[in-house]
Amino acid sequence: MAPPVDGHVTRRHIGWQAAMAWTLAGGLLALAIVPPLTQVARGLLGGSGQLSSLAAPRIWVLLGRSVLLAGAVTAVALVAGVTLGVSFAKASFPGRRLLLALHVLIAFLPPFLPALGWFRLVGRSGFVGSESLSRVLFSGTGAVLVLATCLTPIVTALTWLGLHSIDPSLEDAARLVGRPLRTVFAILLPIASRAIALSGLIVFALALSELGVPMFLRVDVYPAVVFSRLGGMDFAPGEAAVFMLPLLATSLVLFGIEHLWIGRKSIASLGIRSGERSAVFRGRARIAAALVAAVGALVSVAPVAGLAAHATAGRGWADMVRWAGDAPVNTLRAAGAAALLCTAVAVVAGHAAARGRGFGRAMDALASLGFLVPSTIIGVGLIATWNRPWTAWLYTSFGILVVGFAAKYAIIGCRTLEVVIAQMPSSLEEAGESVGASYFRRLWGIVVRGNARGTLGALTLVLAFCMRDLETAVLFYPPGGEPLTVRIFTLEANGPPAVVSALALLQVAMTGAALAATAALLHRRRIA
Amino acid sequence: MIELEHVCVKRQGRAVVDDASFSVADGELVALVGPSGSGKSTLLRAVLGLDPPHAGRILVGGACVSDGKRELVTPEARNVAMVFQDLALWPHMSVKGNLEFGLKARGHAAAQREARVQQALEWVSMADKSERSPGELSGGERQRVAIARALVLDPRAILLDEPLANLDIALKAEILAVLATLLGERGIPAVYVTHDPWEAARLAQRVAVLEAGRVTQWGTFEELAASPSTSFVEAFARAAGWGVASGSSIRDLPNSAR
Repeated sequence: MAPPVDGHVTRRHIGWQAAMAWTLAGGLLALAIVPPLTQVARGLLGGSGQLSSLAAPRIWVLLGRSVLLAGAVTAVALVAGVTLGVSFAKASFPGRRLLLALHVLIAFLPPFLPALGWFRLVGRSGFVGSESLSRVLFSGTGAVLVLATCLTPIVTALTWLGLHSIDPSLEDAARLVGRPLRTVFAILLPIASRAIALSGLIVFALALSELGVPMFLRVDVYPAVVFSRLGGMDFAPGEAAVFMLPLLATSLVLFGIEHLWIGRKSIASLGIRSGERSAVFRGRARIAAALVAAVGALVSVAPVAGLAAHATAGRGWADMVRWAGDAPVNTLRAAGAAALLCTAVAVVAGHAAARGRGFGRAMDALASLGFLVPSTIIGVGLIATWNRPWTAWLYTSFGILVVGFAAKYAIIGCRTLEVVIAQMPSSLEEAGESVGASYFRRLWGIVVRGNARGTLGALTLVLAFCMRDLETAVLFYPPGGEPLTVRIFTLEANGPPAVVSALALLQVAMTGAALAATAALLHRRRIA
Repeated sequence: MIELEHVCVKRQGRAVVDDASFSVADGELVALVGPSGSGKSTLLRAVLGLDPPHAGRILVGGACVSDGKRELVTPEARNVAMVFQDLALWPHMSVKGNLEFGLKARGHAAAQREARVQQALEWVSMADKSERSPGELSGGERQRVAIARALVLDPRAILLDEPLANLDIALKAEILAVLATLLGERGIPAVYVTHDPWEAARLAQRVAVLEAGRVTQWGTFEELAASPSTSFVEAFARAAGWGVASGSSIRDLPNSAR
């Protein structure tokens, strides 16, 4: 390689194998995200005659309510999640890992399931229910609290990761002169602020997209208006396209914040002692942290316990399999295929981004956009793109779910692998290159195998997010191919309640099994 | 004064530091040397209160801060400063912010803080760069800020954990000169962890050798060179030119070599 010329950085040569991988990965990602967004844009232009629909005051009241609801959920989740993240990361107490696992599991469930669980617990005829508790649950406050409990683990997890990526010397230096709380607030949290800000953004985006919880708790929100225009008595696709305009604008603002302010280095941080773990809280502070952690786990487990108790009391288990039909298989098939596809794309895109390639940054931006744009928009765009005679082979098969999931959740794989690969010295790859290893050989033999745990983690994260999806799939699932989340959601209104609870638990069990299998694999020493 | 009496630190049931005893008088600098993984950094962390010992006593300035059963004094109340190997300058704070943090934690008024920060930066010739962030400084400048941060609180003792490990030889000599002057003027007891015999010879009056968690030898350069107790001490003394082979001592080395 030629040495750099003064003031210029030598442009590294890109081999044909890398070019081919980039074209394939970029093409797949672009195919999933760009056409739906283009279709939505065309719909907006074509529906400009219906812009007057936006003049109705009720629309803006609903939009304001949705933004307010998402903001409130984010605020509650940030306060609770940062407290929990600090407690889990900076205190050592027995059962910490188990409590963390129990606390985090709820984030991998579609939020309407915990809502259903809370209803079984505190609803009018719930186990500990009353009229007043039921009124609180079926209100804006109830929706905020339920969504916050579901999404808080995202903040907890990213705070935990952010704190663990800080070099312990920075913490030690602060502990020598300041008390533990001052160390946490003045040193640790500011350094982890980007990871925390990213978690807030994710929570806001998910809460703004959320359809299941508000609809179940009968709280009117803006995405429900768009949803209602896509079917049933209010069917008006032109209006739906126009109503998406404010959501699209909000997404672009979030996208701008994410890319300009938070950036891609929200989590990764290297230091000579960054592998070490330290505990700031000792003595009574440690006990307080353990209590906070236990409460966090209990709040996450309570709705699941409510569902289990209800399913058992109502003998819902007996009919569960019959009512489930093919839905569990549909879920596993579509989510599994999407997770594999997203991980393959993420290895290429995440590696390029971690090594500072423009292609990687472009893929990251595209995938971020897919995640931040509300599911309703992606769903409507996918319908407009693929619901055509010559693409019926895809639109009427589980493939459409794979495309939808990839559009929405590819970023999770890309970001995870970008952070993981960035922690690996590039000299390892250069060593491979120096002995003549091709791009594919290096990508598989050094990057993927050298980061097997990270790759498996990325695959599982995408799988879990696809399995929990309701908002995207409910709009375009193929006939007879609905995933379990959609089956439960549609049965909620008129299915046997105990069976619905049992089906919800089946969803919990499937997600738990996927996560547990990954955890077991990650603990095997053979995996790097 | 720093005194360690039969200090033992365990990690996951294994003794990382085992029955370590030595003392550092006021105004004295002791070089703590030993192979990698011998427990040097762990011993420093025990003195700081970050890794509580399982047995033995640690006294700072005559006061017992840890008696092996309990931590009697929390890390922030010990007033023992540390210069870390990676310097550990907080990246989200300016140079001034890094120095002010400890003063704020101890409740110093703004005017007093300002004066002390300014003074500490003048000690290390960094007064004109107080508003810079650590990322905007050169390696030598960051080193100076780390030293100023350690001294600004007027500590009762100072510990230095290989602070010059990543510097080139010229910068090392420059920072060593700054350190020698500042520590000499203040008479603060200091422990200096190093792998470099040259650094040890340049700064320290006595040497403690830690091997596999135990203090295997403790004394002046001449004492160690005269009767090295282990092969590590012998090799270290030879590398330092303390007279094991040539009969010369560090005191005989020309200034240019120091």
